[in-house]
Amino acid sequence: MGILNISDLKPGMVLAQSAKNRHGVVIIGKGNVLTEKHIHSFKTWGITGVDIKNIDVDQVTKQEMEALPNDIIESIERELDELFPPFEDNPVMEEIYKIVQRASLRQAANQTTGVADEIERD
Amino acid sequence: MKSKEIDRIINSIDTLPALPIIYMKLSHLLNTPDSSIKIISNMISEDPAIAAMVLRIVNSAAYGFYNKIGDLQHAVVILGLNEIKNLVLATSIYKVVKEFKSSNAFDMQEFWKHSIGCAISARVLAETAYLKNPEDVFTGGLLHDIGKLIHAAYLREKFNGVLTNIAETESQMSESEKKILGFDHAQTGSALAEKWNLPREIVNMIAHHHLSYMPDTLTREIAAVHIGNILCVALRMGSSGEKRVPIVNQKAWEILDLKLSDLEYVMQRSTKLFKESLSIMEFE
Repeated sequence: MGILNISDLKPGMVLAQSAKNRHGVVIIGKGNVLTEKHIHSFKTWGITGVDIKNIDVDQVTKQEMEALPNDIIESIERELDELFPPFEDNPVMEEIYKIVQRASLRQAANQTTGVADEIERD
Repeated sequence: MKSKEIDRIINSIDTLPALPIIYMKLSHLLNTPDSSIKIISNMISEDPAIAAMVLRIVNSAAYGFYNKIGDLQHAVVILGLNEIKNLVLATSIYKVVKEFKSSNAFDMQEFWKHSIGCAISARVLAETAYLKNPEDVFTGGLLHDIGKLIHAAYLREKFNGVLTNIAETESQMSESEKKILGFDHAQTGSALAEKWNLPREIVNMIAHHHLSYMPDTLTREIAAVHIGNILCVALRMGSSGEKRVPIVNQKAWEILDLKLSDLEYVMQRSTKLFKESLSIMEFE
């Protein structure tokens, strides 16, 4: 299971946990198969992330990394190393790091295929 | 924590930037019972450059209004008074910043981008955390590093020493400033904001955006600017001389009561709005 950001959702994905709004009200129940309409309504309800069955978010990142040549991955890793200070046991910093890492990888991947900027996907 | 030295510096600078008069007049007007929307929009129109920019911003994708907003009165009605006040302030600051001559080592364009980036990130955080006044957080974010401008423009030599020190030691600018100047840009910036008679909340957001020590009251607004700054450095929105992403203060994160999964949304949305804002508030 993995919590995916709204912009990563695709129709056909299955909810591992029900999607709730800020007040704990269930918008769409666990086990439901997502449709375009569902995904659109998440935005309306202000839901930013949902738990999807059989997705490992780190796995998604690994797959994207595998598609890139090694020297590009290395230069991204180096840039991130320079940008971020060392931190331990800090889930917030870890999350920020991962988000920037994912975005950098995607941007590099898209540059090789010539698609528009990956950071904004709306 | 105000030191006599900062006061002395702030008070001694004859040519200290003044906020365009329009903001002061507008603030004052908004506090009087007789103001009407017409009077307010007429007053803003007295500074055509600012009026034009407010309209451009309001009609930009950043606000997402379906119909074009053709005149200032309409903008005032739709946005409400607090938002308009903050917009006028933002454009006034833009005017001030544009006129600054800076030292060679300090890139004004990058500084401005960083300020906008922080303003936007802090605001998106504030909105996502359901704070009641995201426009004020925007202003706090916009001004958080204004102290660096003062240092760069009026304490040029010493400031160059700070920049050299940072390059050599990889420390945060505040540390170097405290060592070389005796105070940091958070203190200078908040002193300037006080001189400009900005609301206490905004002064506090500037003073405490590093959270190197806990203020008497850690407000959610301060937390939003603190984290907004960190996000915009991580996203490389411009630069104001910091080499590294600062570490998020745990209490600041907790007080906003957000989930980790909210961060990606916040960062993506901020990136989007940042790009749109740049096209409006570009420096040549």
